[in-house]
Amino acid sequence: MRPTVLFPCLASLVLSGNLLAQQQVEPVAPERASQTETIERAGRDLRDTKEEVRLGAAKLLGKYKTLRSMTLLAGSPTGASGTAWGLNDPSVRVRRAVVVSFSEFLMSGIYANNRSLLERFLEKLADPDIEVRRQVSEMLPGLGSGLFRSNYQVVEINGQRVFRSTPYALPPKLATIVQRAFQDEDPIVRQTMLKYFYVLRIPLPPLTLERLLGDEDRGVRMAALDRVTMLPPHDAVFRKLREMTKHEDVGVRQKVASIARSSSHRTSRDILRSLRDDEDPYVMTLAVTSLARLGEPQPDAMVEKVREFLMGTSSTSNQVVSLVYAVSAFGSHQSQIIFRALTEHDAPKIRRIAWQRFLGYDNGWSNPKLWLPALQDRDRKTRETITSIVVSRARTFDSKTMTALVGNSYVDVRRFAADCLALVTPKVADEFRFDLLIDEKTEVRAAALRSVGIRRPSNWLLILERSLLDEESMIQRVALEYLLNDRAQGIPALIKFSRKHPRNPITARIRVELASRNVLIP
Amino acid sequence: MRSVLFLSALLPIALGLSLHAQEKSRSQDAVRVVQLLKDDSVYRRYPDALPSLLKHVNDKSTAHFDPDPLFISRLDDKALYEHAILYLNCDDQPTLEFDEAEVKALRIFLERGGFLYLDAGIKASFLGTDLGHSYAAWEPRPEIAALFKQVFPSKPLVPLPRDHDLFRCFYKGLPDSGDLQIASEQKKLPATVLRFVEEEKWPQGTYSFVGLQLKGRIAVLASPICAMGWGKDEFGNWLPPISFRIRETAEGLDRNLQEAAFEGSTYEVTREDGLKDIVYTQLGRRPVWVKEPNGRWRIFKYYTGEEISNYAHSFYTRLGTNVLLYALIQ
Repeated sequence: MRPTVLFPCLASLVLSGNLLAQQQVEPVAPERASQTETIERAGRDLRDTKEEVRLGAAKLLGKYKTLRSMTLLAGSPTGASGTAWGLNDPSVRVRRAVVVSFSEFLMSGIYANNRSLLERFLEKLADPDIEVRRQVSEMLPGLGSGLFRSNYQVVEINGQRVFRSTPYALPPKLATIVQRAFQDEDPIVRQTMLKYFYVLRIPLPPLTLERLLGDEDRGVRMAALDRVTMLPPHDAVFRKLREMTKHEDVGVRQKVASIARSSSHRTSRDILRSLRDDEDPYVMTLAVTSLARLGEPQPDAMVEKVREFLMGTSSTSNQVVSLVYAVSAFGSHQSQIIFRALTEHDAPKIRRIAWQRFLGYDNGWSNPKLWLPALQDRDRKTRETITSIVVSRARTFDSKTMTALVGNSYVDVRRFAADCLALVTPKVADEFRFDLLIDEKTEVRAAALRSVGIRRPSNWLLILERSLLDEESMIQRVALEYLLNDRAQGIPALIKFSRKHPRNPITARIRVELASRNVLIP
Repeated sequence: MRSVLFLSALLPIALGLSLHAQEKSRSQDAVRVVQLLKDDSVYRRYPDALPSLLKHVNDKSTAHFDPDPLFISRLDDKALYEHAILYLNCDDQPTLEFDEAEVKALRIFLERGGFLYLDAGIKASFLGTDLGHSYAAWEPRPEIAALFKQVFPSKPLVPLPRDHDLFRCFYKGLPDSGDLQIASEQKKLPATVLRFVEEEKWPQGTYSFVGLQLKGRIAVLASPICAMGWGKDEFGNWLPPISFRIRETAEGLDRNLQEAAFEGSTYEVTREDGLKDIVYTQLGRRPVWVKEPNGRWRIFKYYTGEEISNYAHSFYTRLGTNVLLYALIQ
């Protein structure tokens, strides 16, 4: 049975709730017209005989985001007077104003899916005026989302109502206009088409892409390069890329290297090989590391060039950082040499990565001789990165390692040493506890005291009791915390202290803490 | 077109050294710009901006900047005293409140010859929390005015005249086809946009700046946000896209705007001549039109596109270059 279309849904323009609300807005000032009056008046003005009046109306309509405004802006090929108006106005100034006003609707996120209306704007990709064509090409994302929004119709089949989607494709005439826009005389239109063509669900033929890769305009070339990886690899395109490895624009060569790096086309390696000798160190490094990643051993001379580049750059951009990581692709020995060198880089971020990578070789994390120098790094984050990893091996720290940690000039490293007192062997802990308990920095002493509370060496009670008299409240609080944890000896010691030192500031705190544990000091 | 700077202390090192040695030497001799970022967890809209600008200045002049700014989180950081230029993007800070120690440190820094550039130090009231707009108001934002009342109570930030040397110290005028990397015959901008830019928005490559003079030099400079125009990706493409707000008119539009339906708020914005524009805005939308002090009404139109964005980036980068170089040579 042939389905009967009952009613096309959403065929007319759909307005957001916001927009509907705005249609009902009343003017705040009495002298101002209503929105409907304003729009209708502008609509009449759009058909005025004077160009300047039509121009003003086109500009004003952009401020009222309603279906009526859009319909008026779209205009008609011929008005009552037999003259085209709106989008088809004979005046180029008016047409420009119309598309700019319409683009304001799209910029503000207004949603429109009246396809015939949108198609009329899209047709203006063939307007004789460059400004109009530029503006329409810039509107493609907004137009595309309206044109291709999923739509459906309700049909009746054998008495049953069925919802069916209605697919959409650009009408052939419009598709031709769009395809021709890739070859527009204006580079901005060509460039914008390359950026947004996919929203119109039209193909970009490989030969068109190849031609645009060789475009005289830099913006077009770069936009074309951006599209290479979107399409299935094509020989003609990669032949062009091969030519572009000698391009004078370093940005182009960098992009070619990036494409070749991520492409599976058979000529990718050749492209990377030809970029290996590029005069730009970034391009050269990208090519060399990419080839190494593909399993091609790289001569030491090339690796040395990469080392020189990375050592010399002061940038810590994502691109440079990704190159630092890519060094791992070289052979183990070559990588180690570079990472070792990078541990002395000027940029802390690069030093941090280098230390992590360098210590990953030959089980370096378990060799304090290798990682202790990293704790002399002037960047705190670098030091903390190292300590956060080696802490898991603290049980194996020997006397020599602890000597280095305790003697470190950075407070955070000495505090790390104090934290390790709870993890190292008892013998090593006994050897270094006192040094850390008398450290010049409170936070180191507090950490050492905590490890006393955790580990409880033979004289732990005495140390904690005496620490209650420390002039630093941080030390007193740590001592209190660990004494409170021991009901057998700690709490009696606190009671004794409170009686003996009733005026010490910590005594009030002790009383509160004991009271909360139902312990009253007699 | 461009004057070449000869900064003996900043000249590139002699040729003939290895790349490694050259780069090392660069980073040691280069002028390092200090950037304040009170809280590094704040979302930064233009993280690539300042490094891109510094690279641009290095490429185009003989000045020698380290392309990596040195970040500090407080103005009383001792590192500030080791450098001469402080960059502060006001939109990148959680607040623009500074404690007494920081105010004092800033005063000392400026008195000892330091230079502070307050990007987004000018912000028209109607912009609110919208950080992506640069609008030519001619007074510092209230938080900055309040800050400098504490730092130098008797020295207000005052507008820079259009003929100030800052606007001509390296780049002069507006971007040309060479700057834009386009063919000379290519249309640079839509006609109405170009006219407005040349005559009103950025005449002769100038913009709305306010400055604070100290011992005969400009120690503090504030502008509407310019950083959005400096960033480049690794391939040399500008980012992010920028659009233009243009004031336009047409016959009869003046009357129509007075009578047209409007629901929203109005804001006063100080103009270059000290008079006030009244900007009409609607919630959630870009400003719609403006009533100017001479009684003229004009409509705001918004233009986007590659050529618009490229032009704006080129302009802001030229302006940023002039600011940095002026800081060195004044």
